[in-house]
Amino acid sequence: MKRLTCSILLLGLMVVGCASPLSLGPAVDDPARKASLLQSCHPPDVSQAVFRTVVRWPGRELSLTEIVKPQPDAGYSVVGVSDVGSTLYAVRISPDGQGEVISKALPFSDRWLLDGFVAELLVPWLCPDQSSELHELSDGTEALVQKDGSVQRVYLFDASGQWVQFHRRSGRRLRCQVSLEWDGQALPMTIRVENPQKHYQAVRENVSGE
Amino acid sequence: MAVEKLSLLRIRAIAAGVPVAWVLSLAILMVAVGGFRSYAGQEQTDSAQQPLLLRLLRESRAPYHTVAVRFTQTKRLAILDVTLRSEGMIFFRRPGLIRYEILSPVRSLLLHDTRKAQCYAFTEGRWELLRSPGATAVGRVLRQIGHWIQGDFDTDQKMFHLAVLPWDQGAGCIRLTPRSEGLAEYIQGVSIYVDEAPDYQVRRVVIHESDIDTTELLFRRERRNKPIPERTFVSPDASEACVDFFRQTEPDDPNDTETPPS
Repeated sequence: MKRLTCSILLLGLMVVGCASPLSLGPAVDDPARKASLLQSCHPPDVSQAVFRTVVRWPGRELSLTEIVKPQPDAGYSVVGVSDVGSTLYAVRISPDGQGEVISKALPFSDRWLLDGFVAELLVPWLCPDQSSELHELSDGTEALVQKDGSVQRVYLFDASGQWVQFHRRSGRRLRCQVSLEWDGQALPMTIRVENPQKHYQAVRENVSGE
Repeated sequence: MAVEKLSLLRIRAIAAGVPVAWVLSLAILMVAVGGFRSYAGQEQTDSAQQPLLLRLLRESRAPYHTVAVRFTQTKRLAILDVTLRSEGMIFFRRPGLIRYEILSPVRSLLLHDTRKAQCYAFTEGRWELLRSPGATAVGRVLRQIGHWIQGDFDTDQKMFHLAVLPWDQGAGCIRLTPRSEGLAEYIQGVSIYVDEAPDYQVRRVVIHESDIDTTELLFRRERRNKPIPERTFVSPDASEACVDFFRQTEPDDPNDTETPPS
């Protein structure tokens, strides 16, 4: 009984945690600070990025290689390849952000692939713009918040001004949380994804130079 | 019969969350490296029609109990202008032990011990055994390949039309085209390029997944009947010894170089 109670409490805490992961203070009017943060998270200037990805669902794991190729027209080609070379998905993102699934072998919907899996991979390229608002968090760190209808994109920075996390929220619900680990390169060394909506975690390691 | 088996494979693979093309590509790759015994075997049922090249292949490679080979795999998606080049190696030992390892740009490993397959990924600095329902489907395919390599063709799946075409750089090109529309949805065709006598070594395999999607494998540094490093077929930790194996053993073909032919 005690164990059950603990489990329920833990589950409750997790749900609450997912529903309100952030405590953003009011918007801060500090144009210089905002400009500084915007400048620190520019899209990486790379011709092609390659990631080793491991995706974990409850009781199931998948490894794949993902390639992001920025196109001259400002769109992106994004491809997931199995370890034996077959295509798991191939997606084209147009310059205006519209996605098109060219081929897909994963048993997931196009919408999930575009709005979830691929969008999370493209986080380092999808930086905030001038329309974002600067917020201060309770721990003294800062965030840029960009609103698109009911969807809120939150870019979190550490004390040194390094972009370290991205949250996508719909209303009060956290749709995904992406952590970025840097080693001084144009791209994050590791991208960690938590997607509570689709119940998976992904670890993406940048292997572009290998 | 072949269509029924393919359908079964397809259903099982999809149920396991494994792309059918993944399984089929792997099957074709393993068959190619295994010395074409599968396709040669399929033709045994109709020996009068059996192309000479297949017979020569089967005969020339029959004495080999172990085969190890390095490969370069190039994936091209023309419509998206994306190319991925990977380096890897394959070890095979009768009756059906297989180590399939990608070395770069990512590291991954598939082991098969005649009963089951295990999938590993090298992630965050260590090998991790994946809980992959797809391993069951992969294991089934690899087990079938093991039967083929041992000469057991009772459970043949005649999935492909087969033709032998001339190839000016070698003994010939074996062209496989799916017999069923179901299979053709996943693989349009496979071209397998074979060296001249006496080795009839497989040099190149091109898998056409679709109009926009090809995978090319270039094989090199083949080692036959050489002592395989310990734990090759049971542990990811044998990776380094497997890489060293190619450095420490003489090539069977003295003309075989590190750089694959273009």
